[in-house]
This record gives sequence, C-alpha cells and structure tokens, in this order.
Amino acid sequence: MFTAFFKGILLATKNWKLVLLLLVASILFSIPVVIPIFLLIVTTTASTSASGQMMADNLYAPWAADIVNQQFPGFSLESFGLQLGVGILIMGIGYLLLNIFFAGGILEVFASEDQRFSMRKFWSGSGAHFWRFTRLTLISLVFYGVAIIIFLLVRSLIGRVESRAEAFESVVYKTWFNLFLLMLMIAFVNMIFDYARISTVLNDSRKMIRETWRAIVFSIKNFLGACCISGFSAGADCSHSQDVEQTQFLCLRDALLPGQDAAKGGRAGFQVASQHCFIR
Amino acid sequence: MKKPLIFLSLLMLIGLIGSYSTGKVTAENESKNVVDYKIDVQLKLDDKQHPNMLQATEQLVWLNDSSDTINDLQFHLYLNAFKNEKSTFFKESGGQLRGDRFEPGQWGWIDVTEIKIAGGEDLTPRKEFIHPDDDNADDQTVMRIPLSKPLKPGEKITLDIKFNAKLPRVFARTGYWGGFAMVGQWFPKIGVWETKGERRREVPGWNCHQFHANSEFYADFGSFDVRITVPAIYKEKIGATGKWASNQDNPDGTVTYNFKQENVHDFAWTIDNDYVVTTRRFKAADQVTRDELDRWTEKLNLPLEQIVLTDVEVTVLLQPEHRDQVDRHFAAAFNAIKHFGLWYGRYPYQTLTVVDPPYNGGGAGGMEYPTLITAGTTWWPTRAQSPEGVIVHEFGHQFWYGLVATNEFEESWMDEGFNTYSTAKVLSTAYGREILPIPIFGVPLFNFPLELEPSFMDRLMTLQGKFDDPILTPTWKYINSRSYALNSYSRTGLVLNTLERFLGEDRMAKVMRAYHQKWRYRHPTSQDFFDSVKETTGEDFTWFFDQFVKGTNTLDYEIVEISNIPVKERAGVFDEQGKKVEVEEKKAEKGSEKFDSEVTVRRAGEAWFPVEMAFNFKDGSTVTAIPKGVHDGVIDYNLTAGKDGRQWTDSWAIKDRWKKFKFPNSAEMISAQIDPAQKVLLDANLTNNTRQESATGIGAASRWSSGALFWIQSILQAFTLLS
Ligand SMILES: [Zn+2]
Repeated sequence: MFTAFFKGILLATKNWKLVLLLLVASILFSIPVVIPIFLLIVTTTASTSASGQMMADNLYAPWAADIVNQQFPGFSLESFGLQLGVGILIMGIGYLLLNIFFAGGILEVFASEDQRFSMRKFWSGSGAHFWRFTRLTLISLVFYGVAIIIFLLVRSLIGRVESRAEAFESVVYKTWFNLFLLMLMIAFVNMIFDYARISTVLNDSRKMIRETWRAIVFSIKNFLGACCISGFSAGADCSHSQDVEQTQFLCLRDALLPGQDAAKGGRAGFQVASQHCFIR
Repeated sequence: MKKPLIFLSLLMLIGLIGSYSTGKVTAENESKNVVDYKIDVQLKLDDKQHPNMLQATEQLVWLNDSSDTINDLQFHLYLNAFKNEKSTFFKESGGQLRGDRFEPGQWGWIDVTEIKIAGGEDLTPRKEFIHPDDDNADDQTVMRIPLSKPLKPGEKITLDIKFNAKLPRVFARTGYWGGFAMVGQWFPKIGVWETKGERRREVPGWNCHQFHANSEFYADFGSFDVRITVPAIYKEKIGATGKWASNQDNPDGTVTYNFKQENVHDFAWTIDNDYVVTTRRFKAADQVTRDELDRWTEKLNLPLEQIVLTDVEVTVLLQPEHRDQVDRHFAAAFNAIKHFGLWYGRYPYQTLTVVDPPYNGGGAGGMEYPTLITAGTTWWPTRAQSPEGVIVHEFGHQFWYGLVATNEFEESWMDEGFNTYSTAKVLSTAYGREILPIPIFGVPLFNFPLELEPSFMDRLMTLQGKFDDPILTPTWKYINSRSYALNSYSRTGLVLNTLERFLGEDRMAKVMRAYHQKWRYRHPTSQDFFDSVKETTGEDFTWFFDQFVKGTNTLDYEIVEISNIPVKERAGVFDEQGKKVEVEEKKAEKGSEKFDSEVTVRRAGEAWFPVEMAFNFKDGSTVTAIPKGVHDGVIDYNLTAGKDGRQWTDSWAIKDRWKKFKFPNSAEMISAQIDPAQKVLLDANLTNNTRQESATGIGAASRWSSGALFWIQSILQAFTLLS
C-alpha cells in the first residue's frame, strides 16, 4: 500500500505538464469571477489612499465597510448569503463538469503503458470517457442523496431532542456524530465511484451500472484496504488544504495554487496505482 | 522638601483608599424614595414540575412627589403581554419564537385579584385596562385605578395588593425553561407620574406605556424588600436584585429568602436547580492601581474621593456546562465595574449578580435589572470577547438605565446608545480589538483572525441604511425593528464617538461624567443631555444634535478633483520701451516647477460638518485646513502651511455644496484628504475622502484579487470531490 502511495505521488510529479494544464484550466475558469473583483477594487481605490492601505496584509476596515455601504445598497447578510450560495453552486457544477471531462484524460494517461503525459492521450481520453463519467456522476448523486437523507433524518431526530434540551452538551456529541457519519458515508460513496471510473477506463467499459456494481463489490471486499487508501488520500487533501488555510503570506499562498492541482493529479494517480496493486 | 510632601500625600492616599474600600462612603446624592415595595411571593411548580406559578402579596407605599392632585393610579402588568396573540406586544413582534409557536401551558399572565387602600377602601372593583399608545382594546398591560379621594401633593398612599401570575416559557427576557426561571417584570409596577416641566412635559400625567415589541422600561426610584419562597430544590440556587438579608427553612419543605435594596427602580430574581453558584469580591484597592486613580483624578479634574471605587460582592450563577468559564465571567464583571466606575462614577451598590441562562433559554439572556444582569455564553466560546461583550454591555446598563434612569420607551437611544458607546470603550480598554475566528460547525478550526475596530460594525450596520427615522423617536414609532436597533444602538454609538473625536477624549470624558453625576437617580431627557454638553464644554452643539440625533440627513464629504496648472514664465513678443522684444520660454529647473493648484471638495450629503482637511504637495509640504468656528451659516477655516508656518483664512458657506481651495504658485499638489484624523465616523463614505493625483489601485487590486482567486479555487476544488 505504501508503495501505491509513493507510486501515485511519483506519477503525478512525472507528469508535470498534466498538472500545468489542470492549473491553467482551473485558473481560466475562475477568471470571470476574479475580474469583477479586480475591477471593483481598482475603481474604488484608485486615486485614494485606500490603495496604499490595501497593500498591507490587513483588510482596510473603513474601505470594506464602505464598499458594502456604497456598492451594494440594501445589502443584507441573508440575501447576500443566498446569492453567494447559488453562485457558488452554479460555478461548482460547471467546474465539476470540467473536472469530469479532465478525469477521463488523467486516467487515460495513468492507465497507459508508459504512464506518460501526451496531449493526444489526454484529450482523446477526456473525450472518450466524458459521457460515461457523467453518467457515473449522475448515478452517484442517487447514492449521495441517500447519504444526505440519512443525515437529515438523524438530524431531525436530534433536533427534536435539541428543542427540549436545557444543556447543549446533551446534543453536541450527537450532532458531531451525525456529521461524522455523513462524512463517512460521502467518503464511501466517493470511493466507490473513484473505483468505478478507474475500472471503466481499464476495461474500456460502456455499462456504467455494471461498473458501479463492480466497484461496490470491490470496495466492500477490500473494505479495510480501500478505506485506508481513501483515508490516506483524504488526509493528504486535508493536510494540504490546512497548510494553505494557515498560510498568512500571500505570495506563498499563491504559490500553493499549483500544489492544489498537483494534489488532484496525485490523488488520481495514487488511486490508479493502488487499484493496480490490489488487482495484481 | 519635596520628598516628605510626597510621602505625606502617599500616606493620605493609602488612608483614603483604605477607608473607601471598606465602604465608609459618605452618602452621595441618593434617590428620592417615590416607591416603597414590600412583596411576599411564593413560587410553585406546575403539574409538569416547571417553576412558573407565582402567588404574591404586595404592599406599595407611593409618594405623590409632585405639586399635582392625582385622581387615578396606573400600573404596568407586563406579564399580560404574553397572555394571548391579541396583546400589543404579540401583534408588534409577530410572536416570533424562533419559528415555534407557544405550546399549551406556555403562555404567561398576571391577575390582580385584590387591591385595597391599607385599612380602607377596596379598589378592586374599580380596576380597568387602558391602552394609552394604541387602540388595542385587547391589551391588558396597563391597569388604571380611579381614586375616590384624590391624592394631594406630598401625600403618600399605601396599597395592599394580591396577585397571581404565570410565567411564560422563556420568550422575551422573562419566563421558565425546564428547572430555570427568570422572573422579571413580574409584579404590578406603578407608572411614573410626571409633573408639568418634568422631562419637559407640557401637561402633567402618568407615563405608563403598554408593553411593546421594541420598548423596554421606565420606573421611579425607591426601595424593595422582597421575600421569595421556593421549593427546597432551589435552596441556594437563587439570585436576585439587592442584598441577601436572610433565609429560613419552612415546615412545608420550602425555603424563604429575603432580599433588600434601596435606590433602585426595579426588582428581578432567578432560580435554577442546576446553577453553579460562585461569589467573589471586587476589591477596589486591588483592582485599581494608584496610577490609574491619579490619571483619572487629573483627567477629570476631580478630587480623589470622587474617583475611588468601592468593593462589590459579585455572584455568578452559571450553567454546569459553562463551569470552566467562571473566570472569564468574573474578569469581565470586574473590568466593567472598574472602568465604568472610573469613567462615570463609582458603582454605588454592594452586590452584582451575573446570570447565565440555560440552553434554549437564551431569550432570558442579555438583559439588565438593577444589580442583576443576565448574560449568555456558548458551550465552546470561539470569540475573544464573547461572553465578555454581553457582560460588559449589561453591566453598563447599571449606569445607563439603572442609575441614570432615562425613559426607555420614549428615548431608547439614551440607554442603549449611550451604552453601546461606553461598552465599546470599556471593551477596547480592557481587551483590545475584537478578533473573530471563523468556526466550522461551532469548532474554532480556522483561527483566521478578523480584527475589527470597535466602530467597524457600527458603521457597517448603520451607514448603508438611509435613515428612515431620527435617533430620537419613541420606540414603538420607528418604521420597523431594524430601524429601532440601528438608531438606538449603532447610530448613537457613531454619534457619540464622533462627538468624542471632535471634542477630544478628555473633554468628552468630562462631559459624560458631568452628565452622569448630575442625573444619577433621576430621569433626564435628551435635551438635558444636550444642555449638559453645552454646560461642560461651553460650546453650543445644537447644530450637531439637530442634524444627527433629531434628523435623518446623510453626511458625506468628498474630494472631487485635484488640478495643477503649471505656472509658465512669460514667453512671446512684448512691447518694451517702444520696441518689440521676443522672450523665449525658459524651462524651470526640474523639481522647482510652480503650479496653480486647486482642490475641489464637495458636500455630497444633505448634512454638514466642520470637517478638517489636509493637502499634500510634491515638495513634501502639507497644508492643513482646520475649522475654527461656525457663524452666520459660514464655516471659517484656518489654513496652515506645515513647511513655513504661513497662515491664512478661508471660508465655506454651509449651504454651498462645494468649495474650491486654491494654492497659487505652489508646488504640485499630489493628494488631498478630508478628515485625516478620522474624527467624523458619521461620514457615510470614507472611500471618497481621499484623492491622489496619480496613484492607481492596481497593486492593491492585484493583491486582493489574487487572494480571491485562491479562495475561489479552494471552494471549487471541494466540488471536484464528486468527479
Ligand atoms: Zn442593552
């Protein structure tokens, strides 16, 4: 298993062109949101001393307050939260589709004989598997839906206890357990569909329901090992993002952007490798 | 000769502190005893074992302290606000209980079953409900008793009252939850008789408003002697206004506690069989250093005996799950007693009780009663100043509501707003800036600190709302509760903060101290505060209060434009002594070019303010424009060049929307700034207060949008979990 882990990391670093491609694509995707922010800051700070203040690491509070006051009259946190949420959801779905598209390419590269990146392999893989992966994602939504329904059911049970509670302590652990359960369920579903995708590429399969079923069987059979692998990769993701959250220095933070995409490539590579070591 | 003198004064000082901290304080201006309540109340459990039934007798001695002959008495019956959905309180608030409705058995009410003149007439048949504020005939929160024999000036009346009450499920401030009960606004409380001229009244009469969604309370000072009988499970699990006087175990298994307090205008109490009760002493001599006493003596220019504080017995009643926060509660209470005391005058009572309501009983939290406050905290506090903020705020009400007893119905800014201003000052003195970590599911995972200036939230919440109401509006007459909150809290905070920055901190401290001391144990109006400011500063601030307390206009100044026109040496053909002389243009040496500089400043809002300005030039010099006074609708400015100290004057007519300041033959002006010291927090838009001739915001924009890019990417990455 550790060999799988190192193989994955190695695979990702070997294919730096792939990582670069992913990075450029994801930055291009964010540009439509970043440009208005850029323009807003330019137009509201240009020719004022706020621009100087904004160069410091702290948010310049009077500016921030007045941006809200002046640019968004009638601003309310609730409606802003809703708009922001819907916006993020729409962007997220778009980005998800883009990544489904790329996932085919990444796996095609990693599943090939020499495991080396080439534009031809990447784009043909992306094109060939996109529709299959989309179908897989749609199937996965049912599973995620079940997980969320279970979570909500437990939550409403807890809620009934909570509304009569005289101490928070009596409900807090239940709430956390429920969250943990949700994360576990999501991780499991996630794992199943990771394997379903890999298997689809390896077998060049078109029958997605069959692949889903096979992945479920695989995940259950190799439950412990599979959990460890997913745990590892989730852990790697988390520690990576934790690093980033804790970073106060802007330039360092920006330097970590490619790291995120490398991690994404690494995760796929690592899973392919681990799949190989299980199967063979 | 100096040393012995210092030594002597040191000795005297120690002596003084000693005597003051042992409580031998000469009586300060005490309150007039208008009311004298003796209440004997028994709390009973309902059939579900909830502590919510009250049975009581009340003896009230009321003094007609006016020059009027009074024909009726009026009482508040606040608990009837929770009687049904027809009450004014319920109609105004929409009965919001976090989306829930009252369940059967959760309503609250109060019944006056008997009211008699001691040893005389039974007034019970005469009682009637009135509704002085609206036409809601169903509202039963004000009771009127016509008297058959009018009460003459200076006469006292003694009433024997019997009443039953049921507490609601904790809703707005008052009620029970599980084994907890917060018993506030629970007894028939007489209104305030205001004579002509009192609080600037035209016609004498009762000030006894109904209970409204946004309104708080108003009552006369006096003394309370309350005996509370509770089931044995509440033994030593009780807190109340005033000093514990005695307790006794009764044969029927109940316990009776007696609490007494003078010079207050309300009485509240609480029980919870889960309370963790801790008492510690605020020792003035330990808490306040000599240095601090000296500093305040000097700052306020008052004798030391008016500055020193007295000891206070502080009791904290905590929920068991918040047991580990006991030190934070005491530290906050001690900080509040200390700093409010130094600023406005010592806390005159001997006790303070801090109550922590249970989970789901938060409706009882964050409330003030004389010598008893309710706070509220969370199981895992993530913020640096919570619960501290609420403890300091509610303690602050001992000063702005408790001691300076303004009318919370009609002038809510004078308690909530004054308290917003002073709470922020105490918090930043004692704790520094608030730091907000961002918790995930209540767990402070990411301690990304958001440092906030105290005025930041006030500005954010206030200035975006174009004001629908003046600050000075009766609570139930604001357009909505948002406008009430915005005006009574944040906007007042900004007004007082602006006044402080305009006057300077020391002068403002004197103003607030003088106002507080003059009106302690009394009922001032807004105008009394305005007069007090004038009296202390010797300046007339009518223009300020008219605009910002009584008005709704927006204040916004902006720098519109800076222009620099190069001054050219003469060039061309000139007639000189009958001859044509051609003069070639001479280029000035680099760095010594001269310009006719000009800056255009605009008053973008309807309101005006004598704002300061600063203009910066390329040669490193600065010219400041300081308003030196306002007369006949004109603001006079003193302009001073920092480089050579050159001074001149200019003026700006208040009615004019713009003004150009000209600097002929000067260095190139590179930037201009309105209010460089950021005194005018009321300016609705600070981003247009500065202008730079050349700079662009590209650097800042790149920096912050690259940050945005990063966060967007991070959020998007979360979605790829599904791919
Ligand atoms: Zn308050």
